[in-house]
Amino acid sequence: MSDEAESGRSLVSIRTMEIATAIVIIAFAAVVMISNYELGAGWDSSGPESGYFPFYVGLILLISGAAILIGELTEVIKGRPSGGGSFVDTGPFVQVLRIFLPMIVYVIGIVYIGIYVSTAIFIGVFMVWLGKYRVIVAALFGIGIAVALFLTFEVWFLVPLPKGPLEALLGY
Amino acid sequence: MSLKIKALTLGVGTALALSMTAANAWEPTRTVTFVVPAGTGGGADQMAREIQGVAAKHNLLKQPMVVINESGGAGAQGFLDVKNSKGDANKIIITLSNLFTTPLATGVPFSWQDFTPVAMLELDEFVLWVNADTPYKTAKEYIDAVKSSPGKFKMGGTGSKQEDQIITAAIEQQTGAKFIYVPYKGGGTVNEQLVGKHIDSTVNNPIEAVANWRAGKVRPLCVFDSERMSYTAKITKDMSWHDIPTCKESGLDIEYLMLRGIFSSPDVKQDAVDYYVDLFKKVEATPDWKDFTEKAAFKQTFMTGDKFKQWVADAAKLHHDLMEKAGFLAKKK
Amino acid sequence: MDSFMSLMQGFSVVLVPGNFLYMLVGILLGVLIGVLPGLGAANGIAILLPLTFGMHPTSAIIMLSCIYWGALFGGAIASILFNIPGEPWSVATTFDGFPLAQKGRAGEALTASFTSSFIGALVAVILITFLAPIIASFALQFGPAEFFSVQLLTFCSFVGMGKESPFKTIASMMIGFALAAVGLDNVTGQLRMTFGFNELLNGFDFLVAVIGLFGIGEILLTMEEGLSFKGASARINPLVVLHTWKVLPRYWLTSLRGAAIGCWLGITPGGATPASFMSYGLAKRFSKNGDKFGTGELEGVVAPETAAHAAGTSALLPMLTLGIPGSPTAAVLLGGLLIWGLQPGPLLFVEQKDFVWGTIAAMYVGNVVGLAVVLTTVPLWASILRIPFSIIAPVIVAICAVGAFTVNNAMIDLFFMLGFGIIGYVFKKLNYPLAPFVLALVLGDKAESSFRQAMLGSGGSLSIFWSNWLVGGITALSMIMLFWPLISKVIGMVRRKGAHPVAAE
Repeated sequence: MSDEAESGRSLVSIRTMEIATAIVIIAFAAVVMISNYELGAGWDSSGPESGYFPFYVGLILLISGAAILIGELTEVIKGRPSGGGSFVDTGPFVQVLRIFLPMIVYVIGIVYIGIYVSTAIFIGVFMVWLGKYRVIVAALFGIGIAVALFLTFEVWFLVPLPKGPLEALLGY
Repeated sequence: MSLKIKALTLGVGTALALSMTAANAWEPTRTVTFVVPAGTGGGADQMAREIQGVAAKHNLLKQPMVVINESGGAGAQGFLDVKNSKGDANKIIITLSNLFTTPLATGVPFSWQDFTPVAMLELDEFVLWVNADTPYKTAKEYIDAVKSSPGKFKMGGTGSKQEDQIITAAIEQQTGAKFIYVPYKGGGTVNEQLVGKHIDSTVNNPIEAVANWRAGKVRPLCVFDSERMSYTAKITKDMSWHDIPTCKESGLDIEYLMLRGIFSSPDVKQDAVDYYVDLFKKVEATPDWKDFTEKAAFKQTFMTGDKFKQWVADAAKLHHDLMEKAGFLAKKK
Repeated sequence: MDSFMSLMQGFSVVLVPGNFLYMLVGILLGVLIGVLPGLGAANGIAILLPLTFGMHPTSAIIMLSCIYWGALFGGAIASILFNIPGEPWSVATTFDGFPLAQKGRAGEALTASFTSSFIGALVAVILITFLAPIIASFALQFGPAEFFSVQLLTFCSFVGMGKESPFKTIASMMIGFALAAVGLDNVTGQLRMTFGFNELLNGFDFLVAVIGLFGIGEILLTMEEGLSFKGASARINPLVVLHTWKVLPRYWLTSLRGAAIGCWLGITPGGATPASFMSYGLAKRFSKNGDKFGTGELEGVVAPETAAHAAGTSALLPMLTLGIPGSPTAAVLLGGLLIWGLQPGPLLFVEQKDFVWGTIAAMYVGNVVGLAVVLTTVPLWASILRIPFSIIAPVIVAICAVGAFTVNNAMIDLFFMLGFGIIGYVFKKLNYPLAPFVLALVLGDKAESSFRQAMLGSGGSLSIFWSNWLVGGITALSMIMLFWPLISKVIGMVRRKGAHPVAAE
């Protein structure tokens, strides 16, 4: 673990994140409300229609999102634009990306080359890259886990997981 | 009629010809995936797992068979999955009525024509049940009671705009009676709600209600079929399945049977279909299967080839008509 | 006494070497199924069902029900160690279990969880043994209105719990409700918020959300704070079990309440998941240490685990006596009974005495064996935390992926999992509470269907929710729970006025 992340500068403040999140919530609420209003959000003789509950859920969400947003904006107007401190600093954020980006690649990998091969590669690469293990150790460990998964799910429990060209070659 | 027979002989002819030309018959090349477009524990799931168990016990399959449940969107998930695995003969799906009802009610794009028909295993009967504490002894008495106080009687059923509600709508259309239809998640719950008197009647399948019938909690009024069920062994002290009158006998001219059939992916070759037909014939020949069908009081109707296709086509049309009349079709966008 | 004699008979059926072996195999498989998220008990049993085809029915149900116990025990393991609930009913266990593990007290948390599970199950089995016929009919009292009132009670005993901003709590809960509504509306058969995407037909599964929010979210947070799990260096004391046992009797009231809630919700098919949430919520509200809940209180592990296991066990009662599954797992076992040639339902107790009492005896023995098995593995599980982060992190991600996929066999769920991971990370840093989110997601559509089923029955009149003593009582109780903070303040004020300044805190 030689590369302990140095903290670095603040990438984004908590206030900015709060405002951004509130805006996303409001947008989401609007989508929910519109789509359910179109579906029918009334109350007829057989009780509430399909869109009734989701519509009002959307409305309440909209109100609480707006309340959060207004609360944050008042703080900004009061002259505390970056109050609450830093949401994430550059260093830690890079750290987060170091696992999150591989995760995305991993999931895309599952779609195309199956879960077993992806898992072996993902674990192996991660161990070498961040754990500074020797390639051979990492490779063995990654393949070991993949094989264990394969035996557990595919062979013993008969649960099919996503498979790719390699498994097809092996007749699965 | 003669046209039908012609088509039938033609079908048999081609099947024969094919089976003769296929020198090395198809066999599964890897694990057979058996898709259940419904949740675990339901009727289709039970049947799929019974098949899996029988096949394993009697060594009918060289490759393993796995059952997976893809119940999302009233089964649409499972059907779309199979529809998207074009030409994959290692994938089969067991259907219930949602093969017809789901695309019609939701507009999700699939139809029975997307799949390669393999075989009809059984047909599942529907019976009109009431709580045993109620005074109704015949379907006529019950329907008359419903008619005399419209909008008071509750019919419970599985899901919305699916088979149970279609039958309910058919009863309403024919008799002018008016029910409140209450949809539940599964047949077991529906039956429990009937025993607990939260609803007044159900159209449960025999297997869903038999336990409580034997215990004297619910009473069958009639079966939605053109003929009585064939099982004459006594289930309760004085009644067998055969003793339940048909609804037609009670003046309720409605027939509805649910398909328990097998389909495979689109564009699957005939030799693979033949393989599965043969497999299911073997499965149905086992004593385990006979036990199972008797317990569930299925209508034993094994059907393959063009006859099966014709049945499915008719059923699809029937569902479309029934659902159109009841106003259950998805709105066109 | 009749029950007692029958039970003894049952023990003689169970305690033959062959059945004992099935029991052990069942427990071990169950623990494995419980640990791996996604591979739930219901699926696990469904998968193994065909294997039991040729077995004697009693042996078969012994093995399968032991898988169930094992899964109930095992569900807590991943929740406590990695914040990934292996089963839906272990979500509430993460609230305090994971913080305990972070403090280096994973062993204690595991012991408390296993022991409470055992106690919950024991209470439930005793209930089944002696009161089966009376209690079974209680389940029949529950119609849609009653179900809704129970779900309402679960919410009301849980909300208003955090110190977070009330708007954030509400927002979090509403997002849960909104996501729960995506997909097919069970009552009208219409599609909601799918926007023409077939991938959205399934809606958002609760387990996928939880795996993302908690599991992936936690990995991201841990990465940010440096490359190791907190509490990883904790010493593993083989005597941790005994030490924890010394403390546990303090929480007897919480256990008792948890067991009562669990039995109730198990018998009236409410399920183990709401039971665990309700028990946690009530424990938090009524415990002296209530305000410390969420930071690593043993009591916060005891409460949900007792309730979950009691519910899981008592869910088998309506299955045996009425032929009604009290839980998804019971539904699968019900199918099993048919495959083995038995007919569940009111006559089973009369016609298949050996089978029924063998099953009940197996519940006793299976839970004892299960407890012994899992307790001996406590040090082993706790030591997993010492594996370096750069190895365990990708393995956890892989297990999360497998879990998210197996829930619905849908590829899209993997992407949802990542999405929920981001939400979990951001929400946690901005102090949006996650618990209301998951509770809304797991109960949202159920509560909505019950409500609308009730409305269909009553013709749109709300009066159905106080139309009889049962539903009225539960609804009233929910209201009391909702306004409890207010009520307790009033009570406090009245008391202080009455008996002058005694012990002001």
